[in-house]
Amino acid sequence: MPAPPYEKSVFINCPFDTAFEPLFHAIVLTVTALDFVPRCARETEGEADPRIFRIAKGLLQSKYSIHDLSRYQGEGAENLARFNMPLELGMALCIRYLGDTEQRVPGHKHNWLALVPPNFTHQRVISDLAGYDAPDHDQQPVTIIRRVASWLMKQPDYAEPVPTARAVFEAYPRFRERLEQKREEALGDLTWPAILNCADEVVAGMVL
Amino acid sequence: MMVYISHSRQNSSAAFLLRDALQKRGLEPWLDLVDVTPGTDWNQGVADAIRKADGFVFLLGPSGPEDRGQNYEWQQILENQYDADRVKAMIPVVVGEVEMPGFLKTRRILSAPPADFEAVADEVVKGLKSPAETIDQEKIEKGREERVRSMKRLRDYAQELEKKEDARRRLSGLE
Repeated sequence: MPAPPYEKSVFINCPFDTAFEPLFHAIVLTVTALDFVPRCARETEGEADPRIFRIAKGLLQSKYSIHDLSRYQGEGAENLARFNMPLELGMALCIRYLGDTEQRVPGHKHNWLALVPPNFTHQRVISDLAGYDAPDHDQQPVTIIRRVASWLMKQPDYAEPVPTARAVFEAYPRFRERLEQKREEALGDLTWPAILNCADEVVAGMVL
Repeated sequence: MMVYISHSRQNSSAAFLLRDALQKRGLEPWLDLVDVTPGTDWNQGVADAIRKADGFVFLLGPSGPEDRGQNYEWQQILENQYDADRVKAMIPVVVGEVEMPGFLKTRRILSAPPADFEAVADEVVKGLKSPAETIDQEKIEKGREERVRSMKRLRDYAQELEKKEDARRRLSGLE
């Protein structure tokens, strides 16, 4: 199966749980509306390779990646924090800076966006990001759409015409509604291809 | 009319020349190097000026690998569009070899030979008065055609993934 073009692929690295789902969907819709292709670990679900290999492969096939670092708190009875997001951001950084060395992969100039919680609290747990103006968000889809859209617009592979960020936010409830319909039709199972199909359908109906 | 000058730190001298040329034409150019009061928060000063500006000039030239200040300015300008109730002109002025950011690729690009900012300033004045004319419609049309092709690519890709998913389900006995 041919992968989507490298320079249009945006690998999304965020929690896939129910609580984050509205924000994940906001990222997917924004990326699609701005004429990029959303990619994530979910597209290789069910493959035999270990998850970390599948993520590495997806990152290498994507010129861009988005990493949500807003969940750094401990969770559950044992108050443990999840380390997946920083680990995968580290992988993206490695691809990015390898691109500036003699060992670079030809044509690769990976660029990444880290989304962080407000008030610079992330600097207490990932202080190495100090000096990088990471856009923050308040767990609201509208903020995510604004941050992701603005970042994508700065990239050299962004091409107009595309809908405005405001139009993306206005289309977001319709997207969520379609996803719920798909989920019901599939008896509760919302697959990654179904998410892409809904995004495509909603974006196709947007005015440029 | 207030015009915000966005520039990389390596193009500061060109930014001053452009500022002078715009001022001569009765505009109010805003340049951080002059207009952020020492001792105040640079980020806040920039964000406030961007909100008030009637238009933007992007001075683009060779810059360091990651110009943090310019990156912040661009993020603010683009995010501000969300709340803007009118289209503001965005005019790229190129002073050397540069990789154009995506959001400026469909704009009419002005080139400034070294130290000649007078002609550029005249064009900036025109652009600020008619923001729609700063957009290159030919490039927009080409982009529209490309978008049709890329939407088809996405659709094909989703279909391929769907087929793969169906095959996996059949193998695992889910269907």
